[in-house]
Amino acid sequence: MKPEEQPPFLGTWPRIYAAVLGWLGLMVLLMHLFTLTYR
Amino acid sequence: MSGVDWVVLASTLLAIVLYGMWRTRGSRDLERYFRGDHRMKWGTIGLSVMATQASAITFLSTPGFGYEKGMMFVQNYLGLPLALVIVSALFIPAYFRANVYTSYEYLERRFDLKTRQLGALLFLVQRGLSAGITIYAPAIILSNLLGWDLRLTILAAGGLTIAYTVSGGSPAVSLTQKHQMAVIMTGMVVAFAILVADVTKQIPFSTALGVAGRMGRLEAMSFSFDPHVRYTFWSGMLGGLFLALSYFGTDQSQVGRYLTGASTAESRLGLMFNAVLKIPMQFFILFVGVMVCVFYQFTAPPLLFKKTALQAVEASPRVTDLRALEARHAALFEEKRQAVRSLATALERHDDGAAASEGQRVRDLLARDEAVRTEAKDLVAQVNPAVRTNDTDYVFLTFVLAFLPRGVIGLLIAVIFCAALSASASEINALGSTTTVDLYRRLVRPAETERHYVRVSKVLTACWGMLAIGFALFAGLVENLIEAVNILGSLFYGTILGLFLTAFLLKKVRGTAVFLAALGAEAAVIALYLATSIGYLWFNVIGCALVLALASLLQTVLPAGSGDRAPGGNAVAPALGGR
Repeated sequence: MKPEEQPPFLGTWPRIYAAVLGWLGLMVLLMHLFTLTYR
Repeated sequence: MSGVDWVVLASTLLAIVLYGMWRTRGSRDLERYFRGDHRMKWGTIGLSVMATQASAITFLSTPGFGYEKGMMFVQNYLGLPLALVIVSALFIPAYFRANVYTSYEYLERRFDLKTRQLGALLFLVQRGLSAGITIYAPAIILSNLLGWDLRLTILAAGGLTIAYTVSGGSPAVSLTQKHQMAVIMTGMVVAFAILVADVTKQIPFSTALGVAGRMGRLEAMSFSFDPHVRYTFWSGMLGGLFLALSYFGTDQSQVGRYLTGASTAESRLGLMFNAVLKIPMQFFILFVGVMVCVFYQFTAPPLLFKKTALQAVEASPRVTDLRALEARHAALFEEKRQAVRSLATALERHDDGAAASEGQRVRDLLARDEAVRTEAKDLVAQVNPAVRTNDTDYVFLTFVLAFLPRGVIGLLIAVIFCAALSASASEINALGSTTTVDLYRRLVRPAETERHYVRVSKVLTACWGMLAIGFALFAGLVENLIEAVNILGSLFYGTILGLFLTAFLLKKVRGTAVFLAALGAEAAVIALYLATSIGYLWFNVIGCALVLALASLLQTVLPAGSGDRAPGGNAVAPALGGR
């Protein structure tokens, strides 16, 4: 077992985590815009 | 249900269960039975983690919530992606390096035996009680709506779960969950497509969105600091973060899922899969409920979706009061339908003034109709106080049974069963493995063969399954117990998370300090629960923070060498090979 295996894309785990948190930010933004549009 | 529905339901369930049992037959060593020989790829792990979290009640309650209150519940999941990133970065490498079967084994590696046992016991009490509810909750709804015998429904769901979980262990759970999730998502998408097709026979989809918005059902995000607003960005990020961190990081029913990974990379990607897809999935399920709400603006909904709740009133002298309420409900529906049509026309003409006034009229009529429904619930409670009148969980299935075509109904009932089976399988698998590894092998018989431990684990898994069935069979006698079990779980989660975060973050803290801190934090959380009205989501934060603070404090005042070993040392019996 290699505990520090690298991810198959984006190169490093911090980049993967940054991408996931960026996705979270995008979802929050989209849901906020959705709320404003249909209020 | 028609014959076609029965064929779809039975063939779907049996095919998945039998395939899972066949593919995982012959597990004779712990490595294979508990961790599937570390062969699972990230896709299987991701679906397995998702299926474990999404119980049947997710697919019954969530659309019902969307129907009644709209999209705001989606904010409860905002903390989940961040929690999964932390679990991936902090917890997974630690578990893989320690080569553990259960998360509680890690506590002994890091602290001592008593801390491991405390963690394992807190989990067993909490999860042991809730496993019965996982089976009972959908069974009571299905028996009420379909007239099925409650006991037979519980026995069928519980029996199927025990069969493949005992037979194939953890890999059988993961493998079946992959196919169960495929059935669940297919069923939900088909139901949504039919629902949208029905709604768009009345008004265009874009207008339906406008109508839902004017009804206050599309408020997905709130940045309010008002403590009376229950679901906000802030409560979801903070409360949701701690809840998800504890659940995914320490609860063996989830840890057992990603410990089957072929590598840390596969396990981490499985969690990232959930971090990306969980919020869109919950958004979609809530949105299905919102569309059901729009649908019922053009088709008369029942006075109460839980029709069996009205049976006692039908047979009582108060039936005339019930008929009067039904007449008011029907009249309000007709008035509301006209108002919704006027609102739709105004939205299509982009007439903002008319849309605002018609929107207000629709909201007033919705409030008046809700008042009539509350009167009906009060009437039921007056005639028979023992009957539960909350019908949120019945909304979606009532729609499915009344308006979806034959065959699709069977598919949607299969969705509910698949969700029930997948969640309870993870639970009893985790309960069996924790009892075997953390109690039996560690304390009772430490030097037996692998085959012996697999046999014991099968027996213990079956025992936990039967206990869950027994609890489910008697849960109806004590309905309030369900809520008590849910609250009980939240009272423990913070303390358990505190134990693990202390292990990872506070390197100087040793076993006795964290053990005493956990006992103190648990006592404080229970005292706060009894003495205050704090929302139980916050106990996750409070319990965790108290363990971290008390452990740091106690470590500075406890005498050095009071039975503790150095952090990171290994006090596990050598005969166990470090486990």
